[in-house]
Amino acid sequence: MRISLGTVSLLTHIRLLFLFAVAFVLLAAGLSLYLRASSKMPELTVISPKLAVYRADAAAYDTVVIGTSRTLYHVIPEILEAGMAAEGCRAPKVFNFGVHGLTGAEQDWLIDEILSIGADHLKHIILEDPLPEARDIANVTSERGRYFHGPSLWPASLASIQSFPESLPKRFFRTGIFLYGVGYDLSGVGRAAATAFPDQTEGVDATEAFRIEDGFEALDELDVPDILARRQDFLDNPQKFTDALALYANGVSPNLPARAAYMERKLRELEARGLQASLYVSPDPLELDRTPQVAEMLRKQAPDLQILNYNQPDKYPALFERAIWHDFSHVTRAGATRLSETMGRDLCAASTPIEERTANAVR
Amino acid sequence: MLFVELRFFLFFALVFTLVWTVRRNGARKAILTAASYVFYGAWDPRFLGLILFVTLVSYIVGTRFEPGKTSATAKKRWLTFGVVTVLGVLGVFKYFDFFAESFGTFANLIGLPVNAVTLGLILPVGISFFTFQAISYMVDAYQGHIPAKRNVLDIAFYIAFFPQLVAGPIVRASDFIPQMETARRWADVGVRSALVLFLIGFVKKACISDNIAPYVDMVFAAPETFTAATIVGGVLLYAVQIYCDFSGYSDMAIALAALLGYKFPANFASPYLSPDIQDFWRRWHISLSSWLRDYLYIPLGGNRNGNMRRNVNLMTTMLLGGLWHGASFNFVIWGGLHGGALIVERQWNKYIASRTPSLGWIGTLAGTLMTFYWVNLAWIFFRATSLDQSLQMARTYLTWQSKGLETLPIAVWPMLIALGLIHWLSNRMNAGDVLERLAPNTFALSYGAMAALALAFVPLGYRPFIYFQF
Repeated sequence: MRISLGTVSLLTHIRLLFLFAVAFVLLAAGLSLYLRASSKMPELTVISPKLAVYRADAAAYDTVVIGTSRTLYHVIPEILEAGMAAEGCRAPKVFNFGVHGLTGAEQDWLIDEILSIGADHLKHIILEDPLPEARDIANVTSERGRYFHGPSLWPASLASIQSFPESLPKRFFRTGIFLYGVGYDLSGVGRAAATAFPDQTEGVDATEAFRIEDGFEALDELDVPDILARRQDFLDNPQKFTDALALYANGVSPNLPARAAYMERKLRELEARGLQASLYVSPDPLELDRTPQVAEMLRKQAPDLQILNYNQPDKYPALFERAIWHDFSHVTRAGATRLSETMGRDLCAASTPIEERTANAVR
Repeated sequence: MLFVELRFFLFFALVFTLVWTVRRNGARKAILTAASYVFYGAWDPRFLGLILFVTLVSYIVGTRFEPGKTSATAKKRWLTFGVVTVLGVLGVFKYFDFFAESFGTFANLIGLPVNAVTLGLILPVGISFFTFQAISYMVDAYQGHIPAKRNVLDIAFYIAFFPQLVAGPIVRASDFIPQMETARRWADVGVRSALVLFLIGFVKKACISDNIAPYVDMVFAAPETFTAATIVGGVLLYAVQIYCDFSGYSDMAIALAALLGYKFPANFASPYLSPDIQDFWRRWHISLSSWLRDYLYIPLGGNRNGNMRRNVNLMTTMLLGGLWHGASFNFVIWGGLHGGALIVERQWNKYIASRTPSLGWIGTLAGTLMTFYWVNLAWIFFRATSLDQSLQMARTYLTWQSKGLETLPIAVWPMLIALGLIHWLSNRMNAGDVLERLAPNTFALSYGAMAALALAFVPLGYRPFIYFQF
């Protein structure tokens, strides 16, 4: 049967459409990849200024903590260092590489960047269990989302998505959004325009702010509308905090072994490069059914790895007092101080035998 | 929903498929009307009621014009009622606050303590366009150019047809309504020419206009900080921006309508190459200028009744044309500058040009440059946000003097020369024709490659079309 649309057959239309698509895809993807390779990294909020601060003084730091906003707003390097020193350990020099919304692939990229800058000076990398890849179009088409959808990070993104402790349909959906992001990036939209007509708007330079406290930022000191709104939501809904704490005992997440294996692979790769590697799990009421379970599973399957699991209300009740929380996922400076002191103590306790610590303290 | 957005492409693909899948003309019109309402609702669903109201008024008035149904006097009354009602809608939403505030200011100036009452209404997108189309239907039906439609769906379709709904071209009822009488045939659709026109429009809007817009914004935001050459360059860039924005939109609208089987009139014809202002208005926003000519200038008396009356009619038409663009004195001045130029030009032609020998191509070139210079002077008032700023920039434009030291971070003048050359070349040779003559397979491959190239030059972050605000 021959279907006809006017004077041209349907098959001819399909052939022409195919040829159009082939030419479009080949040129768009080629151009996109070429322009990506020939242009420098865009200015990305938090990531760019933190890298600038670290690059300027990489020799000073021997420890970095790489994680999400639960690192950015929760780990105060100075307090952590003091906490270790108070226990008699040699105080490290720590840099907080917390980046809000840090995904697994972004964390892998950041590790490579940090090592390319400071590998000669680094001794210890503490990794937070990162967030999964985005599940909304706005995130994958943002400048940052697009930058991290380059071909070199495709395997890392897929590994991060497939290991995340959530149901298969959710991971499938997340994969779809990831593919949308890949398609958006490869379409090349805007790449030539960005080169020919550079953006003239100047962003706020946060380099100095991150230099002062070695990458830490206190959430309760930021006067930003969406942060204030989150704070108000937290104040208005006390029951939600209590309900979230209940997740710890009752919540069960799927795919935990895959996530534990994923984190172990990351930590082992760091060890293979001659670094001490630790997993840090931040207190986070909304993740109580997920991150502590991953940490404990990893502890069982790799007892030799150092795991700092603070998302345990029964073990660290002081970290779950509502007064030190700014919103449902982040603590205030007071909370960050309490957590960083605890981290310092724990890191010291795990790093060296007691006799050695005492000797250090005497010296 | 902009023509350059991904969601519009998905929307259009769906509508296109549905329209060409069904065979009945009525069903197609119903699909297109429903799609047009969805399209408009995507802007602001609250104003769907407004389009419906204008449609119902046009329909009811139109039914009074059926042969033998109403007396001549009653027909005239119905037409007056219809036009006044539709213009009333436009007046309330677009001009009420402007006139109320102007009245208050004037009253205060002469010592009367008047507090202007304003409504603070949001301007519905495309209101100036769909109200003019409604008027076109009522007038054309009244004058017997088209039979009054008995089916309200036909009127709804004509007024709301989405390719032209929010920014034209203003399609005459007498041009469009006959097209909806029979089902469009796919075989009659010039697919290649429509695709080429769409791509040209897309490139004008997304790749040229949107890329230079930030630089124009910079100059108009703080003209006092820029050098004279930069200010003049900024004004010329605005001329490019608004032309590419609006003619790009028109090209895309015409192409989309063509892909659905409907023919829209051309809206632009290389306007910046016009050797005089009159010719400029034959080439710029043709659908509006011809609408104003036929529905305003000629009814006012046009060229009849002597020189003086003609000049008054001309100025009235241009001032109202300026006001049509927006409720602001800047638009009135813009219309006045064009009206004044048209009057001077007519006097020149009558008393001087007709009595002196033609200067040939030198005269044409000089005329083109002078016309372009004047058009750009008028653009300053069109674009500037206040009268003070307009006057300041106009002064710099005319005297080439500014105390500012800033320049734009792009090579403005080489870019303007390149764009001017493209404008001239596109008028001399039709690139679309070259593409259309390619073998089908070569056309498909070339079109794919050009689309990919165009996409790379689309800046991130969409800008609405300038004429949406009118």
